[in-house]
Amino acid sequence: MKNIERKLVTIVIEQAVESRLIRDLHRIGVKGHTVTKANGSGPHGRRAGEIDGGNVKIETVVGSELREAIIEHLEQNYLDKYACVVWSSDVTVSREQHF
Amino acid sequence: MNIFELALQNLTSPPVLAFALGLLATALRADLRLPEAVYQGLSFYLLLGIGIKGGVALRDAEFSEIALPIVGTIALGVAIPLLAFFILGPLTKLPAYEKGALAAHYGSTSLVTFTAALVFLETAQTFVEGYMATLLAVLEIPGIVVGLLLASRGMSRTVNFRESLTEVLTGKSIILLAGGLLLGALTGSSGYSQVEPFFGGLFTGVLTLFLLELGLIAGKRIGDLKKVGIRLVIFGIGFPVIAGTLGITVGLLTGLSVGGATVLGVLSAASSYIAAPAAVRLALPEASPGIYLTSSLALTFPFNLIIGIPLYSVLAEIIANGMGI
Repeated sequence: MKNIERKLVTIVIEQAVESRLIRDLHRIGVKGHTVTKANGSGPHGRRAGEIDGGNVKIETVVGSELREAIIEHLEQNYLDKYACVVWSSDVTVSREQHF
Repeated sequence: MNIFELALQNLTSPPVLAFALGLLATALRADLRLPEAVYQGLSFYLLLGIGIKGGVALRDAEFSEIALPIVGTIALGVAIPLLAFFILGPLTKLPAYEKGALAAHYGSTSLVTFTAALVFLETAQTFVEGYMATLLAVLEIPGIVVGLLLASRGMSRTVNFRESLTEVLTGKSIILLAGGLLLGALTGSSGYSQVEPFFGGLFTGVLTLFLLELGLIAGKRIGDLKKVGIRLVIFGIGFPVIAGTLGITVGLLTGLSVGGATVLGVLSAASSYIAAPAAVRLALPEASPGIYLTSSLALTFPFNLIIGIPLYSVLAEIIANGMGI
């Protein structure tokens, strides 16, 4: 089995903008993603959408360049407007063509 | 019945008491929440149930009978957010996008307040036109559009209306309500009798459970009222009475019964806390949910539920008498 280095980008964001962000990610070049419901606390406080269910965690495994593009897009369009945090970490995958 | 008897009857109805229990549980810091999936299921049930019953009544109604109330409701949908926006001007020092966001919420309406009003009037044995759910669906949208338009005036960036409108039009409120109306109109009374035990007999019970959950959610926001300031509190209680009176008057002028006009008053007074927040969040991220959602959910909704509904029913009688109806 080959070990291929990739980046796991994790975004936690209010559910209100989930579908918009996922559209954006795929437009930038993301091939796949995973969404789960997320609860927690942070410095941003309360938000709309609480009544319909708080936050979602969006995860995607991408190459380094795409990671930069995603973070730049978030900085320009989401981070200061919506409750949103993003982090990334190194991961290894076995099937290169999937990511 | 006088206003005190009506108020007492409303206060001791199971849905309103359940809402109060939700508020109390939050105040006691009890860790209660309906599971998200159950909450979603109950809101599906309420929307579809209200839609189907309205649709059955719509099928039996004459077009000439409903045309004027529909036109009147559209006019209310445009006038109420404009009124809210211009009253907020001198009352508060909020920027245009906050006023527009509030106008969108108060211009749109609330299914649960509407449903509670139907239960109230049914208990009081007041006749209400069966097709009122059609007016509920009509009133959901224009207020949001007008509110967003008002907010976008003088903004440096362009506001993406299309995404917000798509969100509202394809959101569960409109799809299930409009879909239910269509379903009810197609199936008629004979079809409805097959689902009546589920959507009719159980309805008030499900509403009671849903209101318990809304009490829990609203209770969490009551603390935020301190942050919004006294002027917004005045707006959150005073504006529904103004909009409600306007709605009642339009209802009576367009030929609705006193009960029907009461319901149109309730629809006009009610503010949205599901469809509007989602649309406003997408289009106006700078507007603070701490203002519009708190005002709508923790102030106007409880006010309408507990005091507003009996108040509007009395106002409707007074206005009808004054107009000689």
